[in-house]
Amino acid sequence: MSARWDWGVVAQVLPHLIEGLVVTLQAVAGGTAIALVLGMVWALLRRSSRRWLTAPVGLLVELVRSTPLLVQLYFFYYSVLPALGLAGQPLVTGVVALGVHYSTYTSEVYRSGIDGIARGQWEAAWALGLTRWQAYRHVILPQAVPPVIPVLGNYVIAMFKDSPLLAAIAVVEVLTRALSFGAEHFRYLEPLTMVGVLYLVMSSLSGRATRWLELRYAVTKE
Amino acid sequence: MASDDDEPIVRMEGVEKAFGDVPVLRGLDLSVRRGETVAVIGTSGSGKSTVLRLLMALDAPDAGRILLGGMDLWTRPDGKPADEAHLRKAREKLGMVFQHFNLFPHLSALRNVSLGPELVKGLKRREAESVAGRWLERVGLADKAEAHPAELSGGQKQRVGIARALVMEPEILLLDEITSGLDPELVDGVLELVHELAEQQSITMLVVTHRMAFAREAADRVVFLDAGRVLEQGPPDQIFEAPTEERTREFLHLTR
Repeated sequence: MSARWDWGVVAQVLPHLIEGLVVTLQAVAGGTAIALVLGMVWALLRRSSRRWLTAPVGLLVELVRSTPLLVQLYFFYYSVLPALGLAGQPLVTGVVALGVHYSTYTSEVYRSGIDGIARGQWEAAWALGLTRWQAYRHVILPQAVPPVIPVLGNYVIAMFKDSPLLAAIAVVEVLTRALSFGAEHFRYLEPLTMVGVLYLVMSSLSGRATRWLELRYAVTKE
Repeated sequence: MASDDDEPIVRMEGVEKAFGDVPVLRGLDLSVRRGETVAVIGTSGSGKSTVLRLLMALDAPDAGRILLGGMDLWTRPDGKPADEAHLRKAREKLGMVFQHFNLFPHLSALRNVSLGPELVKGLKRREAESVAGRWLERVGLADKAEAHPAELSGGQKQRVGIARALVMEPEILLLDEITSGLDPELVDGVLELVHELAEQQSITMLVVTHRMAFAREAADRVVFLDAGRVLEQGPPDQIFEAPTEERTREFLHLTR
């Protein structure tokens, strides 16, 4: 195996990697959507005044956050999804596992954002006669979420970097493509380097997107 | 024979409230008639603001009863403890203007005012905004409708706060030291506005204030709070000219 860089190999492997990258992006996009929505659900349920709701949700969130993603991937793949009639769908499994796993982190992020809102905002909302849900939707969350967009963005990047774990349940994502190309052509330098480059490009793009969103939705304090 | 009009619109009976170990209200009794403007004065820590916060149900009393137009704030008609829906119903009667404005910083002045009519009264957004626009006009801010709170001066913010409370057409307006966050030159304008609105509307007002001149001019009755109780109350002239209690005299002397 030669250690000399060969641009010919790069040209050869790139289409395969792009195909894998599309799968990776699908997994991360789906996982992000689930993590952003489900995390909000956890955050709001944990702040509910009903103890019979907050306790089990808190336990579930702790449980998911304290166990490895790889274990959860296998668990979803072999136990949960088959029970839901979705056996043998690695990508769906991966999306759900990534989304649920990261929802436990985003829920903490949302919580810190909500905690950061001054009590006077709640009081003004109560004084107007808003319901709890109306207060969240129109007063609290529009102020609580924008400041935590950068942190949410970091978790999207972290999820992106965790996505090669999906190879364990046979999702043919970008790393899997690189490895199978390497095995076929006895050449790993260019495929793996290019995988690194692609990850770098995607991470910095999503960093920029995060920054843009942050500025777009920034709220000037009173 | 007593008619409904004789029932005070606000009645607080034996209300006690402590924050942690610190007792703030110690058996407070206070009644307010419909249409009356009552100024609540007293040293800081005497529980003035707490009275308003308890009326708005932002805090719950430790003991005693609070009745708003005969409705028990913390007990439902069926005798069960108040839930969120019951409190919302009680709060419909009330409007509140805050010392620190508490405007919604992410919304324009117009949306700050139109949010209540839209969400609570169920008006369509366009209607809510047109009602809100009329109120901004009344408080002299027609040209600031699209401005966000950060772009407004303190006095302008407080005018938005007043419009936001009044657009809901409350029976009782609670004003919590609404000028203490303002620059001195802005105070008079805001107080004049309140005075003017009070005379136009048949609204009941509870005003917590440090401004004795304002209490004297605008109030029908002045209530002096001391150590969590009503120590003395009466028409402004009597309280300011001939207070009967020594503590009141001391307080008025200090604020002179």
